[in-house]
Amino acid sequence: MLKIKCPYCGYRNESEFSCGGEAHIARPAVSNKITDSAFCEYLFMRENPKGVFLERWCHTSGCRRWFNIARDTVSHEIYEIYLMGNTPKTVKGKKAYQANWRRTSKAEAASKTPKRTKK
Amino acid sequence: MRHMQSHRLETNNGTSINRKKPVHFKFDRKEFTGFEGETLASALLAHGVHLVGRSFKYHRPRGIFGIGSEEPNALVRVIKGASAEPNLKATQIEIYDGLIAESQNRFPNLKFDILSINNLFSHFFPAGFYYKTFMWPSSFWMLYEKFIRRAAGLGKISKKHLEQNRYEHKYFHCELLIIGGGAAGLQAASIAAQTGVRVIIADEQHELGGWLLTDNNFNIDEKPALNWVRDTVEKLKSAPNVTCLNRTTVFANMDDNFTIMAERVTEHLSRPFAHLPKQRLWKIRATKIILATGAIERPLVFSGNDLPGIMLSSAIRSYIKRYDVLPGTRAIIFTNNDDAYFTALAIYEAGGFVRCIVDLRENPKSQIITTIRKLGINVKTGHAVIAAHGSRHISSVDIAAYDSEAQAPLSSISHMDCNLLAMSGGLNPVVHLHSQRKGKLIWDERTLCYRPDNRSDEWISVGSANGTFQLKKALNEATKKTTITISKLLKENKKSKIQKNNSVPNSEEKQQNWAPTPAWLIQSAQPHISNKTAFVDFQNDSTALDIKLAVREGFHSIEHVKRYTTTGMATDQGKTSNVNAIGILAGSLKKSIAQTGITTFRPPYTPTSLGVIAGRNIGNLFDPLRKTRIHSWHQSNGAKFEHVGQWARAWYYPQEGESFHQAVTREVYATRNYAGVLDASTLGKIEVKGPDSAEFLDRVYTNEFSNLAIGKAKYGLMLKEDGMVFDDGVTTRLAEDHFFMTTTTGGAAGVLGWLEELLQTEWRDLKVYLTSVTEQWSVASLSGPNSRAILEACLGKDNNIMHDFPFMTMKNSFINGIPARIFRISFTGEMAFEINVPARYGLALWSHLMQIGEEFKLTAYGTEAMHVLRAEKGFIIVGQETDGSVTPYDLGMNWIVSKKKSDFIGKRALERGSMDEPQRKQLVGLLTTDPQKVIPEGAHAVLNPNQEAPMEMLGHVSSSYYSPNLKHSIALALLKGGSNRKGQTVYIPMLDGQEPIEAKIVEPIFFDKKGDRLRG
Amino acid sequence: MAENISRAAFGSAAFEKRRLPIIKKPENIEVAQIELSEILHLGKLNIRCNSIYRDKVSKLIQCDLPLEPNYMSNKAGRFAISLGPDEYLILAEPGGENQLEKILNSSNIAKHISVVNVSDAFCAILLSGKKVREFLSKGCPIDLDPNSFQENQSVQCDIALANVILLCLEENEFICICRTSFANYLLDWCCDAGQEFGILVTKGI
Repeated sequence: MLKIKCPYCGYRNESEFSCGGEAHIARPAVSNKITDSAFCEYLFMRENPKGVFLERWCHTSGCRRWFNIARDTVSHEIYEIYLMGNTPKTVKGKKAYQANWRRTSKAEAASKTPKRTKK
Repeated sequence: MRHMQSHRLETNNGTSINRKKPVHFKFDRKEFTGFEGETLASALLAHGVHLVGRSFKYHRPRGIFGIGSEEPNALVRVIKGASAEPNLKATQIEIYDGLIAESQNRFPNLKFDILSINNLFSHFFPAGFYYKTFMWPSSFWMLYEKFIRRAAGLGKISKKHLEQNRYEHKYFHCELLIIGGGAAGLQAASIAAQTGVRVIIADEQHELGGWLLTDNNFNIDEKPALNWVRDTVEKLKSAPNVTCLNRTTVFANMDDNFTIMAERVTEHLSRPFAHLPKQRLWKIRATKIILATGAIERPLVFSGNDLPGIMLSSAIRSYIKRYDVLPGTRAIIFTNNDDAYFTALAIYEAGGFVRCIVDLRENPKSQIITTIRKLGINVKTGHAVIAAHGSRHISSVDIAAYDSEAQAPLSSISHMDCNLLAMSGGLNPVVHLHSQRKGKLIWDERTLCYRPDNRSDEWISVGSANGTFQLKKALNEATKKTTITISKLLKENKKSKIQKNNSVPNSEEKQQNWAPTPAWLIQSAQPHISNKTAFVDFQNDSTALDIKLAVREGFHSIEHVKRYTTTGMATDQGKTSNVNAIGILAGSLKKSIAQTGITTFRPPYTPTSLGVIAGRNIGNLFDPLRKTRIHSWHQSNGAKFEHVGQWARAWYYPQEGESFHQAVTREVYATRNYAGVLDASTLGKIEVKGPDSAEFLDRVYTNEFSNLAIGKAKYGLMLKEDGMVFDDGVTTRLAEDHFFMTTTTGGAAGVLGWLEELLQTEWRDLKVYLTSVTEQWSVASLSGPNSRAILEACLGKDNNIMHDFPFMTMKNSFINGIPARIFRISFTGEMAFEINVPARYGLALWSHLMQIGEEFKLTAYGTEAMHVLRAEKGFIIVGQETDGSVTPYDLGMNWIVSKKKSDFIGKRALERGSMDEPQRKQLVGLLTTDPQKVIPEGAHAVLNPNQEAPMEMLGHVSSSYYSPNLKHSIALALLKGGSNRKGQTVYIPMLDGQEPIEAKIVEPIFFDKKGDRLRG
Repeated sequence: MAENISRAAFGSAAFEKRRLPIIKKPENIEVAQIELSEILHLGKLNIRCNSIYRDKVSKLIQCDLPLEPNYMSNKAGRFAISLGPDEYLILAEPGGENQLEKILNSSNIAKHISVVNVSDAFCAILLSGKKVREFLSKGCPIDLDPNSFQENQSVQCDIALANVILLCLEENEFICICRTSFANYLLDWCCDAGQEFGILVTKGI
């Protein structure tokens, strides 16, 4: 069982957390029309790398806050824990972030300029 | 009749037994007496009993072989009251008065086992036998399986097994966990003890000391070795920062030093204390781990090496030294190293006759060999035991000059009789816990063993576990590594300091030559015959021949050979077998051992009972059962409960003599015609506060909430991003920036989690706070034509709110002095009010309602009646009409999907082309042709009941009830293209040759289609 | 008016349905080493506010919101417990929660914070005795060593299968706050786990 350092509560057992899967999946705004296939990339496609993976975790049994982890899927080593809204700072984390195909995906481009639903 | 302890020595030197306390026990219904402090194995050997089991596959007679958890053969069943625990190792069971143990895997008894016929046909059971034989035809598997099930399997639990034992869990945190209480472990612990860090030292045996309990005729720190052990243990036990545990096996070493160990707390007692558990599972988070797990002796692989009377050399020495038991009187020693000479000496000193020492080495030289020769013991160097003979016990061996490299005898064979054979093939460090963490192993050519690579500084191996077999060096290593480890720890923790120069205890143990000669397989001149009974893995009955066969059949990777031959698998985890198997494989592949590699050891290190893994998570503690504040009323009014999520909800309230159906019918009828009340406290409730609350709700619901007036309520449907229905409920605007949301009972935690996720990850700019208030409010849902009158009566002088209380609004008031939020909303289709009060008043409100309601014929109804009432109205239940693949359009709820809003969760997904597919399953109503026939929920509908299988399925029935108000069976179903099938007839085929049920597709609403009653 | 009505104390009357006191102990132990009782009618407020408004809230409720997570502060019998970076639980004397709610909601920062009365959603259990840490360690994965979990520290964690907030008052005295619907389960668990040391469950105060 991993020991995970919640940015607010400190080190706790993995069993107190829930893993929310891949991090940094930007939600395309509906108003920025994208094709079905570009939308489905956002909705269905998930990375499953061997090596560094950026993922979201929530401290479910504790403070219920979400945060990001850069974790090695082979060794389980955690390279970095960083807050929501941030991108990784470590060399390994940065590389994983930049190398992800999403950075150039249409869905991510369509996530810009979030709009209020009613105006 | 009690049996004689024929093999117990007179000498009374045994360090582990208490002669003053005889212990009586039974084995296979015979009565025996042993002494306090010894194991079942030792006590049986004291009576000359070697044969204790039959082997797994061939049912060969097997005897006690080792001394501890490495024992592969002596697996027995212990019976206590109504429970029987199988597969316990006789070498680990401490005897107590009244112990009842039985041998296993034999029928009808140990000496005459019917299935030992497998032994005669052993050539039918080679490696991969099951894979090959039962592959084809597959339909025969059913037949084979019965045979295999009976023949195979290890041990049986009692047929009337009733687990009455108590098992507990315990969490613990420490800076240093030391696994193993031998010389190295004790030394590590005594250094750590002085530093004030939290230390646990755990040892598998019932006393600490490890091999020092056996080999101790020298001084450590100027005092007899045993005294050093006792003093050290005493010191550790009195140190406040040290937890010193015996009878405790660390069986799993997991990520970030999370280790699990099982402590046998009262298992060894004849009358355990009732308040203490049989075993305790410790879940430990250790900052650092020191592995001082010692080493296990390797057997030698030759024909007949599994006969009872053939034992590990070190085990024999331990039985003599610790328990005063000489397992045989005429002994032969077979070795490739020096250590076995100490066993010869022990046998000699105990009065046994050492017939001969057979040493594979050509010309070994050391002090102990000289000593042995001086005693006049016959030493044959460059020789090997080629085969052992005997029927149920060893009676003689074949000895010949032997070429280890060529693996062939060099001379003709000479026979020698004996009743004990000690074998010693070198030592295997216990690397299991290192390997479980994916720690790599290094092949050491000099000591011929796999030892840890010592790459990690989270877990550190010392002493024999690290391949450092000499005591002096082991103590030195333990001292140094512990000092370094603790220095690092203290640096991290900035606690007290450690002495840099901890002195190493001076041990005066006699030097041994720890360089065995390689000997993985001893073959006769006809290896194809001798290899057949040359056992590598005793527990899995795999032989040298099996490994060679696997190689011939193309299995070259050690991982494949392991699985194909089952060597090193199962409960044994290759403790004695692994390295020999690798050696034989390497020889067959003409590779080095290092090139051949080693398999990964997996947890648990030793078999662990399911009871201790479950702990107290059993019975009423298995899963929390959540109860509302009104629960006691339901209970005393005879309610039957159903579990929704973790909640206990009142299901129906049968009156005397009423069936389920009658009770539900009465409750439904009463609610439609007079009034009913439901405990709706379990509904999820969330306070939504903050300036962006309305915007947030607009984004998570399909319909619009920003246009909701204060004091008004609205039904909302929530989708996930894939456009599928996720939850529903009514949300009320309490203020401009304040909403009160309700969710389904089962979905409450999931909805809150999902909304929090959106706020924290997706829309971090929105200023909204969510607080769960599910338990803050008790809710009585009052419904039916009389509900208005009842509420008015309850409100008394506060009833002015009733003058203007339209459908889908909310009012604050007092009921009998209790502050209440009252919502006029309805899930039954009747005029209805949901009365929310702070939970502490829940029961008071309920009782008051029942009292006032009496004259209005108010009836309490349960969840089943609620289901019927809402189905009559065609209201969906999320999770019943939906299953994660249903859109609002499929439910015919297009009206709830806003066209105005530019975005909401699920909007884009609903715009996908496939969402308009006319053949999607859509919600319809079904009316059966026979009004009395109720369709089973989950049944499938077809158009043509006479079609050959596989029939074309149209969809399934999601809800189905008998409606007492319509006097007709009704159902809701999701059918392909259902919305265009109104008026069609479908058939629901039934099991067991019953006639299909015929039904007509109708609108999914059966009662008060205009909703007049609702708005009243 | 409302005060005249008997108030269901413990979550779903977990205590009321049992005959108190409950004593479970082995014969060889004379006095129960774990004592458990409910703290009745304790006012509980959930406050959400970000750090900008923290000082203002502290002033209004006359009790400092802790700066660090996993800590609580206590002043004049009121406790402020940190539940996360922007979430706090206030424990107040019975009825005090209404007063605090009014003060906060009528203040000029009311728009920016959220104040929710959760007095009835949670129950508070007082646990004490010299074996209390050992007892809790049977179900609580947190490091309960007296040097690691000290006075004025708080933690949100699980005890067996119930999610709780655990507050350390003194070396051998804790308050355990759990959802009322889990109270029955938690009480069952406590009675079971406490057997070894002897456990005494008494009527709340």
